[in-house]
Amino acid sequence: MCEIPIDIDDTEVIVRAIFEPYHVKKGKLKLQALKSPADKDEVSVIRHSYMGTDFCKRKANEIEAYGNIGKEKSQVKTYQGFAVLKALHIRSVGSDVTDSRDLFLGHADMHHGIVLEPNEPPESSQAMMLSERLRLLVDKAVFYSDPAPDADQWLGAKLNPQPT
Amino acid sequence: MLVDAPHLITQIGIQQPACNSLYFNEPPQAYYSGLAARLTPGIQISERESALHTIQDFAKFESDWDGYGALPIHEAIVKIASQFINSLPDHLPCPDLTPNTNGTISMEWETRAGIAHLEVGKTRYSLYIKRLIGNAVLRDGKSATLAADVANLIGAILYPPLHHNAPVTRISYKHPLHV
Repeated sequence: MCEIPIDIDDTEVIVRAIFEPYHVKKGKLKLQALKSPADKDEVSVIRHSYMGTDFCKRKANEIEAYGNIGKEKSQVKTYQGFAVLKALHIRSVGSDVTDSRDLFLGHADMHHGIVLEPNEPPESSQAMMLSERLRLLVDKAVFYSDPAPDADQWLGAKLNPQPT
Repeated sequence: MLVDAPHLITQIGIQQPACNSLYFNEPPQAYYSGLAARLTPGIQISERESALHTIQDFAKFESDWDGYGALPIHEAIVKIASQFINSLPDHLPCPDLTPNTNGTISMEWETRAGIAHLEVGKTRYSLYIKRLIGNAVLRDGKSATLAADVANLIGAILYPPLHHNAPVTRISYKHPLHV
């Protein structure tokens, strides 16, 4: 029986797997790392407090492997590490995080309240609101670069969010 | 014997008015055209080429390029963004270019005066300029009409022309015995 509550507590640690080339620049997270795809208000994250770092690492490797099937070398994305936040960080900027275990147990989604239209920008006022929110979140997030991305397990430092 | 020396002090005025008043009275392009070459760092050709190359790289992105379902960048957006980079006036540096998950391209300039963010889509663009002091400037329009006036607006707010506040003073001395 599943023992992970559906409700996400403010103290929970939430992580997002980060990929090159456009999530990080010079070791710093970019806003795009926390942006949802078109037609959805869902940014995939994992409930680290329950799933642990090794599980998160395996999922990141799965995303990398699945996404790179049949792609040219120049198109390959590479897993870089994790952005680490507390649920309270996400909620404190006006966004939310909710469980979405239909994908897999431990999966959750951040919601920023904006659904991006394919191939079109949001209105300037919304774009500014979203960017400012993402900027705050990136400031609150701690990026842990994986010292051994190809290893099966996490070999880096313990993932700790910034204190709230 | 020491003589009180008469000093001739000549103020050399700089024929450059304060930027704020002029900006609002004349189109930014007119203002910059005479000043850009000598007062602000010009855009380097290699910088422009590098930006165009980056945009062409975006065009090669396939679906799910970020691992989370990002859309490829539409060729129409690549074309509009490239045209805009080519039309940038010399006083405006090339922006930081970023592909977005929904298939658009963002251009960002950041200075001590604020941040400008221009997002180019297939049919629309949106621009916000968040100033350090003062209200944000917002603008939305059709991508087909994205032109130099947007670049000039960004330039006028984030890259105001340099100007000297202190007068340049020339001091000369004439010895009374040699007059």
